[in-house]
Amino acid sequence: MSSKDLTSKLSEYIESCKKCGFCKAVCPVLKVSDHIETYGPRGRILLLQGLYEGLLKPREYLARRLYCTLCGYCSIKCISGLELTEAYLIGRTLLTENGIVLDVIGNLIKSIVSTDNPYNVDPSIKAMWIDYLPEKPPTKGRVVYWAGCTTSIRRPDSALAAYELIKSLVGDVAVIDSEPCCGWPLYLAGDVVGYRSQVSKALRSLEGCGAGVVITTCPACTRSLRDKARELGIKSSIKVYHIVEWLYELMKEGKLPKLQLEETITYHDPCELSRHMKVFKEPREIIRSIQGLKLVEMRGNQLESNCCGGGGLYLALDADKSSNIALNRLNDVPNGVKVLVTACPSCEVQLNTAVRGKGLELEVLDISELILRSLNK
Amino acid sequence: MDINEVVVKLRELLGPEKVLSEPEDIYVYGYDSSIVYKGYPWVIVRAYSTEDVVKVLKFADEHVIPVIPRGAGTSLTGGPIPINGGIILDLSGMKKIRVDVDDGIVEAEAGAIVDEVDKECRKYGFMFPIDPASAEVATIGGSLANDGGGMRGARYGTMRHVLLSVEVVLPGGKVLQLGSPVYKQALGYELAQLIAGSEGTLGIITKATFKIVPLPERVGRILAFFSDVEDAAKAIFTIRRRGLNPLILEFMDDITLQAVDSVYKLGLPQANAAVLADVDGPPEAIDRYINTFKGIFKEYNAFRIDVATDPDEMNRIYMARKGAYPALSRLYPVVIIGDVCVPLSKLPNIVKAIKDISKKYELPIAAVGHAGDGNLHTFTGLHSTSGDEWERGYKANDEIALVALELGGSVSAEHGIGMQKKYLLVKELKVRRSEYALELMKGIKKLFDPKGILNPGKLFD
Repeated sequence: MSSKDLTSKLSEYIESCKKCGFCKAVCPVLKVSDHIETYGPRGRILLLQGLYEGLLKPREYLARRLYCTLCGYCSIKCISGLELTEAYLIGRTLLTENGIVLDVIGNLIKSIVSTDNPYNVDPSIKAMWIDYLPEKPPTKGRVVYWAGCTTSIRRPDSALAAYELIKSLVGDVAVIDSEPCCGWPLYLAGDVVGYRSQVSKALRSLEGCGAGVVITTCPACTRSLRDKARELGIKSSIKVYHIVEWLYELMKEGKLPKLQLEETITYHDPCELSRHMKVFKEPREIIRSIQGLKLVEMRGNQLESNCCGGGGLYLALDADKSSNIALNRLNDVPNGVKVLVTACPSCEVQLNTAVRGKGLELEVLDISELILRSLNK
Repeated sequence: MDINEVVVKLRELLGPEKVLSEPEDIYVYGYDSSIVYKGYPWVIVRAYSTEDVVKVLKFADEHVIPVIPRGAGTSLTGGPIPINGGIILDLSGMKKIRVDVDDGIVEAEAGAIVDEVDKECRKYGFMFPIDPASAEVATIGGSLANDGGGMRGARYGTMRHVLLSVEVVLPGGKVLQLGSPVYKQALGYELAQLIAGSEGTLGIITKATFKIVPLPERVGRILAFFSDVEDAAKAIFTIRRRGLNPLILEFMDDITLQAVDSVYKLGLPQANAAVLADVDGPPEAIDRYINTFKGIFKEYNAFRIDVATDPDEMNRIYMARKGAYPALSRLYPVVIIGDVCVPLSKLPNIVKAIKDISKKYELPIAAVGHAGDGNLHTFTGLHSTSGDEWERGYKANDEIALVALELGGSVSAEHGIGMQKKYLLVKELKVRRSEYALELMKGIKKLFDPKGILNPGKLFD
């Protein structure tokens, strides 16, 4: 989309926003920013309005306030039904086009270019989880497990569990030992050109290993490789699934074996998966199919789930506030529950760090780890 | 003193972290929920205690700088808009809440969010009686300053009706507790009540004490649909006339029902009006109450009556009312919100008049609201905030207020006067041959705020 088109799209948001402020009730960033209006969703729309009117100049101070977790809860509350995160992303793109790139975000972009991951770690470290598999996996095949940067680097146990789970359900499953970044952080940074190039590279790498079906544990990778790529007209014949979607299809087809686990758990809805992809019934159906398992809902769930603070590059921008958002989310865990399951590596990292920080007896698991345990019992 | 000096001085007085003065903050704090009004402050001060407020008011009074108090910025009439610069005093950082269940009261600081106050009361089996539509974001200070109401207004009235005492800071920094935190008090002039609805023009509210009420044992919800608007209005009137006291009693017209159904797909029938009532009481009495209401609705030819007592179904039918503003907001980029009150016996008249005005100005005007206390809101759907359509929208809105006045009602029920209704306030006082009341108000303002620094340009010029 050209700058002109973006600006025109932005004007629609500005015109349609009633400035009612109902969105403020649920914004996790506003809550950890002492309710300073400029850090809230209505504030962000007003900042964009100021930019649009030319009364505010693109600059770092503004960019810092425009960044949030992009959790999308504000859109659920929006009285006009606006997808507000789209407006914030337009703002990020316009700022990037004006040369306003925050240092931490610029470093992240450079890292993707130089190391193919946003964590600036050597690609060999990213692929290290593969060494812990019982046997070397094939690098070519029709079914490919795409771990993604965060799962590979920050949650290798989830990657191992997901691989084992997929393998136990379909047999052969390939992995890419030099898996590129899916490009999603570039999109979130407002670098749409960079995103196009990176996601194309990722899809090429998948095509190169003969992938027909790609399963990932990362909702952001799913959105990047499938939804956003498709929206931007980047063609690919590969079917990309988040592991929850894939397990759900198997379950519907009666191909999921009997699951059993004596446990009481709660489930945290990742924002990308629930609010953005509208996948919130599926994980519950899968979890409820596990015999012996009891699911107790968190306060704030499904479309009204509270954010973990890990999305939208917000962790890179403000680690303290991001961590406070995660700590707030732990207040929603029902009493007596010892296992918190989710389906996004960023949420897992955020919540696990908060759990350790608080010294709680709460195990944070990826849904693939839960299902694998339920299969083995 | 120039603006930079003001900023520097305030930073010295309060600490730099409490003072915002970057253009982005100035811009954002120049708006509220009123769509049309804006104005830019010189600086924003974040108050975290009464002492902070005292410091600001001493300084501002000494240098004659306007101070505009602000809670969540959800005023619909321009209440917290700085007309001529000055200091925005953001009280949203003052949010302590204390429930004293033995004394049946809740004390809340100005920045406490109404919904949070309610949640705190619920922990003890009580509730905060007043429930503005913006309760999830609106603050206690802002709601009290505007004398906000809500759906439960049919039974509990507005903020002033549950207010017991209020702490205010006056220009110069004097701190007063007006009223007492007890249920009865005969202390001469009711100064606490004067603060309710004063829109920040008399003093800065820092905390207040309110009555709380027990949570209903059981609630039953009834939604009745009518072909004839007048029948619906008469049913509401009859409920009141027969001395019944529902928890909520709401009216929705055909435009509202169509909008809500088109957005939320509730399966509502084609009707020209609907009435929503909540009855509460002991479980064994609920069916009897429901049947009494159903009887009245049938008496006035309701062609469909939905009843719910389980939470899911109650939520579903509640959407017919709760979804009104969101549904109309989704259908129209711009919505002008009206707020009038009429005597209960005149509900049929005002509803009819709104229909006539809608036709006259060729605009969709939905009538919906807290009919149980005669308070109707109108939502006028527009496509932009400029041009002929916008002008017609505003004229229509004012005309509805004037009709309410002719019917013996009021031009403002629970959204305040702010900037939007100043001339309507004058009009209402004229109709009541009470223009002198405005002089009294100005005189009272002068006593509280001799230099006129508090929220200038609101209520009256």
